[in-house]
Amino acid sequence: MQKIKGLLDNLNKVLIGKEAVVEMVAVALICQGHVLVEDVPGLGKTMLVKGLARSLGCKFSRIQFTPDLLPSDVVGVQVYNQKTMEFQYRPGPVMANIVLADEINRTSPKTQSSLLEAMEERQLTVDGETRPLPEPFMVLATQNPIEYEGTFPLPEAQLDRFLLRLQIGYPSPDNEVQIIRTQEHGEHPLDDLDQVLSIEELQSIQREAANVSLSDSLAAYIVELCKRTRNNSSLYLGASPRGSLGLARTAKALAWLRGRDYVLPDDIKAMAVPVLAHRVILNPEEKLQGQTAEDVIRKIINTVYVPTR
Amino acid sequence: MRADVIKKILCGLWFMVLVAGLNTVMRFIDSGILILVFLFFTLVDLIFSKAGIFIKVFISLLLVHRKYYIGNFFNLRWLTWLAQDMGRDLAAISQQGLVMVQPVTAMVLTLATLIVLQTVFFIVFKRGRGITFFLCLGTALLAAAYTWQGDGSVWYTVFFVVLGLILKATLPLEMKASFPLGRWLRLLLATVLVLTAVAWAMPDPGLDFSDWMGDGLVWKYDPLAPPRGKVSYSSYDGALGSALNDDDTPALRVITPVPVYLRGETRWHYTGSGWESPTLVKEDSPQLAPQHLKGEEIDITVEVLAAASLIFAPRYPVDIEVQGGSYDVYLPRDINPVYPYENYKYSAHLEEGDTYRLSVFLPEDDPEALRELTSAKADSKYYSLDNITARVYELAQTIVAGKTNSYDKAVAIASYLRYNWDYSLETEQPEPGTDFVEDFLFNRRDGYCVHFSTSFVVLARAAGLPARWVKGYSFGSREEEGTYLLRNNNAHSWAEVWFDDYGWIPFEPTPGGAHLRPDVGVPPPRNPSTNKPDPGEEQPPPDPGTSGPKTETPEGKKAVKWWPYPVIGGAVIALAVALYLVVKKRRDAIGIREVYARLQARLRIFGWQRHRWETPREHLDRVEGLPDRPKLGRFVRRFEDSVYGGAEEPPKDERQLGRGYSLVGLLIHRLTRAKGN
Repeated sequence: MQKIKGLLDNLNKVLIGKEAVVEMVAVALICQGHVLVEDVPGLGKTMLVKGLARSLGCKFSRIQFTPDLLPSDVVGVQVYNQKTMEFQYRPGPVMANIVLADEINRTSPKTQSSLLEAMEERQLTVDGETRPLPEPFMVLATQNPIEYEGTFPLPEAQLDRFLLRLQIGYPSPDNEVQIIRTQEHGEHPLDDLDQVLSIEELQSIQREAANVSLSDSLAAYIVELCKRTRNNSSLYLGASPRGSLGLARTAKALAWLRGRDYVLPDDIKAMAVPVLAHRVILNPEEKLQGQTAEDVIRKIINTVYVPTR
Repeated sequence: MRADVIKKILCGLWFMVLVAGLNTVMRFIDSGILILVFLFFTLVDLIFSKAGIFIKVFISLLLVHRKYYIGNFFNLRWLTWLAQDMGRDLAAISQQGLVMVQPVTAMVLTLATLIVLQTVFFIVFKRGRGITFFLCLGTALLAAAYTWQGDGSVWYTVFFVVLGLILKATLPLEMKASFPLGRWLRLLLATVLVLTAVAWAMPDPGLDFSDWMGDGLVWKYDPLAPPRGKVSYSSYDGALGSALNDDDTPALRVITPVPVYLRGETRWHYTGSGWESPTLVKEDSPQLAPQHLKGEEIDITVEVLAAASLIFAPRYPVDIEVQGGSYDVYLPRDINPVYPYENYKYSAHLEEGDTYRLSVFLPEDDPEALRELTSAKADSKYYSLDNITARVYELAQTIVAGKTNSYDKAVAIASYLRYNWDYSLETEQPEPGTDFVEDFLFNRRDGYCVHFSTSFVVLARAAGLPARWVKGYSFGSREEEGTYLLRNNNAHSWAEVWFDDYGWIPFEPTPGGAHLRPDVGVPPPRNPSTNKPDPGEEQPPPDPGTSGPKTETPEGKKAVKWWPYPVIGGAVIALAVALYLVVKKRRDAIGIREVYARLQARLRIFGWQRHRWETPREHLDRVEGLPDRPKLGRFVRRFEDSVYGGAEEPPKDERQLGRGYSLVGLLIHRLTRAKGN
C-alpha cells in the first residue's frame, strides 16, 4: 500500500492536478490492462508514461505512429547474422514494459493490429516464431480526437482491448501556473523520480487486488449496467461481457487502491465510464445531437438501482 | 397483488376460520363484529409489521370503551372500572364457569385471545414452520369445543383442516416482503386512527345523527322490507318478534351504588304470539317492602331523559319519591298475589328532567337456600299451559331431566337458551298461526331478549315452574362511578320464577352477547372481607340486626372477591414487562440492513432519502445537512462493511443511530433548519 502511494505521488508530481487520471492509470497497472488516452497533444501523456516507467524502474519505449510505419517497426525483425550464420531477432520497441503508442490512429490498420495482437496475447509472432513479452506489459496508446484527416480510426473490436479510455483534460489555471513554476529553471520533475515499486512488488499487489471481494449483489449490479447498454435506444452497440469483466476487475483494483478489501458500488460507478464508454457505439442521430458515449453511460448509471441488501 | 400478500391473506382467512369456529361455541361476541375486528386486525398486521400489536390493543380498548363506558377515553378511570368488572367476572368464572361472564369481560377476553393468537400465529409463520403445528392445535381446539358444546363447529373443523392442508401444500412461506402500498396505507390508517380516537374520546354530546338523516337514509334501508321498529320500551306486547333497529336515544340516567335491572311491568298470559296486557286496578294503600327476606337497602336516583309514563324500579322499592310529578300504584285485577308489592306497576306522568328517588331493598338471593324451596303456592295463572305446544313441552322435559329442585331447573332452562341460540335483532314475526316460542325454538334459532325471555317462561311452565315475563331496563352504560345511562337500546325483558315463601326471582335467559348482563337471578360472588370504606358495588349486605355494612357475614363465601385484583394486576404487569422485553429484544435483534432501510423510510418523509440509483456514500455526500453527520458517516461505513464486504453484524451501539434520526428528531431538524437539504 505504501509502495503504491509512492507511485501515485510520483505520477502526481509529473501530472499536476490530475489525481483522478493518475488513479485510473494505477488501476490499469494493477489490472494489467492497457489504456487509451484520448486527448489533444501537450497535456502530459508522455510525461505520465515516462513517470510510470521510471517509478517502476522498468523499460520504457515509445512508438510514434505514422502512416508509413510498418509492423516490423513495432514488433522487431529477424536479421541475418553473418557471424553465426543464423537469423537473429532484433526486438522492436514493443519489447518493453511500458509502451507509449503515440497517435495510434495515424498508422495503417496493419500496423495497428500488430500492436493490438501484442496487447491481447502478451506475446509476439515474428516470422512464425512466438516470443513472450516482458512482465509487466502495459500499453498506453494516445489518439487525437480533433484531427481526423489521414487517420485510421481504431475498429470497435480493437478498442475493446483497451481496458480503460481516459481523457486527461486541461489543467486548472492554478495547476497550470504550478506547472510553469516547476519547470521554470529548465529542470523537470521527471528527473527527480526514483523507483518506488519493483516488478515483484507490483505482481504481489496485483494478486492482492484480485482477492478483493465483490458481493453477489454488486456482480449483478455490474451485469445490469452492461445489460442496460445493450438495450439502450441511444446506443447502436452495447458493452460486451469483456466490458463487465473489465468493470469488475477495475472496480476491485480501485477498491484495493482506496484501501478496502471489498468493492463498493461507488467503485463500480467510478469505473463505469472509463471502462464502458469506448466499448459502445452511439447511434448516428445521437452523435449528431452532440451526445457522447460518456453521457449515455452516465445516464445509465443514474437509472440502475444500487443494491443495498 | 403480490403473491406474498395473497399468502398472508390466505393465512389470515385460515386463522379466521379457527376463530369463528371457536366463537360459535363460546359465543363471546357477535360474529359480525368479530369478523370486522378480525379483518381490521389483519389489515393492521399487513401494514404495520412490527408495531401492529400496540395498535390492535389500542383499537380493542377503544372498542371496549365505546361499547361499555361512556365518557372521556383519556380519563383513565374507566380502566379501573374495567378492571373491577373483569375481576368480578374472573372470580365468578372460577366459581361457576363461563355462565356468569359479563359481555364486557367476554369482549375483552375475546379480543385479547384474538390478538395473542394472531401474534403467535404470525410469529410461528414468519419462522417458516408451524403450519402442521397450528393445524393440529387448531383442530384439537375446535374438536374440544365441539365435544364440549356439540354444536356448530363441525363444519368449521372440516373447513379449517382442508384449508390448512391446502396451505401446507402451497406455502413454503416467504413472509418477508413488505406490502407495496405500505407507506400510504400506514399514513391513511394512522390518520383514521387519530381522527377516530379524537372523535370517540370527545364527551358524548348526545346527538343522534339518525334524527338528522331520517330513517330512510340509513344504509340498511330496504323499501320492500316490513317496517322496522327501534329498540325501546313499549307497553304493547301482543305480537312479538319483528326486526328492530338499534336506538341510542337516552331514556334514563340511574345513580345507584350497584347496577340493577329496572322492572317496568310484568305479564303472565301468553297468547301464542305475544303477551296479553292485564287489567289493572288502582291500589290506594300499597304495602311496600318484604319483611321476610334478608338483604340491604340502597338509594337510587333516576333522572328521566325522555318523557315516560312508568316508574322503573328494581325488585323491591321500599319508598318512592317523585320530584316534578306524581305516581299511582296499580295491581293486576284477576290475580291473588301472595306478596302484592311484587306485582305493582307504578304509573306516572314524567317529563324530561323529572327525577325520582327510590329506596330499594336488595335481597340476598342465595342459590343454596333457593334450592331448598318449592314452587307450588303461586297463583294458578302462573302455571298456565295455555298455548304451549307439544314439542315445546317435550323439550322442557328434556332440559330439566335430572334436576330435582326448581332453582336448578330454572338455571338449566336459562343456560340452555343462552348457549344454544344466537342473539340477533334481525328477526321476523312468525307466520300468523305459528306459535312464537315454537317458531323461535325450532325454526329461527336466533332472536333478541323478547324471544329468549318468552321462551324461558313457556319452557319453565312446561317444566312445572310458576313463571312470568318481566319488562324493563338492563344496566346501561356506566357514565361515572355509580351513574348509568340507560338508552332505548337497554330496554330489556327477562323472566321471573316463583319460590314459595320467598317470592319472584329473576332469571336471565338472553345470551350476554349484545349489551346485557346475564347474571340477574343469581347473586354475584361476594367477598365480605373487603373493607373498602366507600359503599362500592357489591358490598356484602349487612346482616340484619348487626352493626353495619363492614361486618363480616358469617357465610362461608369469603376470599372470593379480592384475589382477582392482584392477580390481574400482576398479570398485566407481567404482560407489560414481557411485551417490553420482547419488543426490546426484537429491536436489538434488528440487523444493520433493516436499520438502514428504516432510516431511509424515515428520511423519505422529509425528502432526504437515498435515490435508488445512489450509492449509500453518494447519498451521504448529497444530504449534507443531516444531524450528527460523523455518526451517520460511521453508520454508513458499517452498513457498507456488512452489505458489500460481508462483514458480521456490528455491535449494537454501532447499529443504532441517535435521537436525531428518530422521526421526532428529524422533524425537529427539519423545522429548525429553514432551508432543508
